[in-house]
Amino acid sequence: MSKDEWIDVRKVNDQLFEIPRTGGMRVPGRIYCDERLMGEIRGEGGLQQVRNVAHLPGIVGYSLAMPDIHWGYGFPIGGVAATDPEEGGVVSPGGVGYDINCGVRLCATRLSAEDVHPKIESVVGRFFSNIPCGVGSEGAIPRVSIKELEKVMTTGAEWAVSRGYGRREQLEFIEERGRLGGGDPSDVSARARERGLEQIGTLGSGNHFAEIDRIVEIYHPAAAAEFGLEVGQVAILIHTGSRGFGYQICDDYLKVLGRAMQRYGIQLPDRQLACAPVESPEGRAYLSAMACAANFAWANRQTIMHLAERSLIEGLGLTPRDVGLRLIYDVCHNVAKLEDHEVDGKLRRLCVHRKGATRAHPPRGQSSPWNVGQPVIVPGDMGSESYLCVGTEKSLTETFGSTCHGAGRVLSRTAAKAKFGRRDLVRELAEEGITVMAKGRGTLAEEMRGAYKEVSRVVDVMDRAGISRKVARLKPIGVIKG
Amino acid sequence: MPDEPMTGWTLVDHTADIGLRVWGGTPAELFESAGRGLAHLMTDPRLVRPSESREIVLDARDLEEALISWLQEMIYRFEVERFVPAEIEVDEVRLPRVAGRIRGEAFDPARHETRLDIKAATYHALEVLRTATGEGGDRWEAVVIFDI
Repeated sequence: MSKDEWIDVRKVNDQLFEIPRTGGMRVPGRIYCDERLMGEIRGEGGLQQVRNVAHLPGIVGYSLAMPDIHWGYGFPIGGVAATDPEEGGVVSPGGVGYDINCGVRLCATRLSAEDVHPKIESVVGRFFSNIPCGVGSEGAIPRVSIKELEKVMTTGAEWAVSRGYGRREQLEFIEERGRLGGGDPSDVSARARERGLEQIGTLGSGNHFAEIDRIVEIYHPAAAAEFGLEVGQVAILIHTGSRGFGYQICDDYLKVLGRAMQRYGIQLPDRQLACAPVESPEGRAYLSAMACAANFAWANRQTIMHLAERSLIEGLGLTPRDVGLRLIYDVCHNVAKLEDHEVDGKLRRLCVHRKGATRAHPPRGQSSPWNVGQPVIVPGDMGSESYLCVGTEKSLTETFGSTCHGAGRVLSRTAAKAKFGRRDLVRELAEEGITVMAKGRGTLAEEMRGAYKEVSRVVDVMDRAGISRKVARLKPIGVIKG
Repeated sequence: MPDEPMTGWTLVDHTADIGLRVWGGTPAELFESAGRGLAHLMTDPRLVRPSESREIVLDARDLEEALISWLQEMIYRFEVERFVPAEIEVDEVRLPRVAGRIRGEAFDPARHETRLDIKAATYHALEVLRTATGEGGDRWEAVVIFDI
């Protein structure tokens, strides 16, 4: 990791800093954060990566970073970059990440925390047995055929609904309706298919989880009313992505684009930034394979929502109607998409990379059926709290319609393990009213709160900057982890 | 570093993920060290019997791509075939060709440990370098960061 203390960072206002354009940078860098967060960001390597991203051919406006910025592969996590294909703009797998369409799904229920509390052990137990998690988890649903997997790649969440996992009307409440166009399975390697075959409906490991949450605070009553949310209500949060399928596609195309870069004469400061023009055979093939992985992830979260509903029904002994599980929204926070954006008064089709950043569209347009703005779900670290926000007009003019995605790691996994590894975390969390079941004790320590920035500070910066507004805060009462 | 054995690996701490510093007297030894280090991140190889083997032949345009492809091969075998590694042997690293094998067996939850769910071996700041030459022998080194 490179030290970045030397980088000139200037304060624009209380929520925004700028890295002036120098050297090979094509645009300046901009980081949304306050003084205190900047203190944590400096020296961590993320600022250097904001600079590196500013070197990408065809980049428009700024190389952006959200307040949850931390070091990532190639792009920082929390990075946003838009490129213009008409001006040689590139697409980079490093601007999406290994976990293509890692994302979050928030579902409301008709239950109150009092309803669930007496049976929480049984509910969490059902989640844990119904939703496979942990290293190499598989087998949530009958194994799909290769032919069927191609339908997953092209139709996403719709495939899951066609198989009986959820209902058609839920598709309205998913970014891109759970189906990103342009995915051609012939651009996906045999290896990726093999890795994906048994992983639909599985949570995986690392920072992925499924949570039973209680709404503890409302900041935006009008929006909460439209979502049908109130304090004390139980909600379900699902955080996972495209599993081994997406990891393999990222790895395959780092190699393909790494080789293509020489052909297109592109030179960049980091090999992990491998890229190719959007309008090149290699760039188009990556976007196609990436869309297949994005669709895989939506099928995955759609299936897990169905498994969560079944777990609530079994664990509480209620009918589906009494549980009343409905989708508030599903957002992806690792993706590159071709979107129309107004730049200097002109509408341009741009390739927007969001890596650890969430689309945050305002209350108009086709992006969500909600009148108050597109929901943005920002999960915190395990056992802390998560936020529901909505996008605003300002996000379109400042951040290509993007906001933060989560907390952002501050302690390495080994440091977190050293700090928490010997403690009985399951018992400590239970004493705070959080029932946790995890496959690996190590993961629990690695993902413990304190290993991440406080998510409240991250969402507050974006709220004060006027880019995404806070609607509600949620706290977990039950968690399952890999 | 005179106290270190001729080949080996150590863990490297990293904010987001985990890394291995690996070394050996030849590129092939370096690849073996990297494979052994990765095996320890995935499982406890001492509990795995080397009863089966998987032959691996791949081609790569440079040593960095070769090393990542080699490690990706182990990750893939584990995830798709449930093949857990016990021993790593690399016969040759002569670009573009790399050949060797993983010895191990099918994963058995009763006997084997699972450690980290590794998404990928990455190219981050990766350089395979010859750090010493001469009468005492060559030394090859690399630092590989894994996304987990």
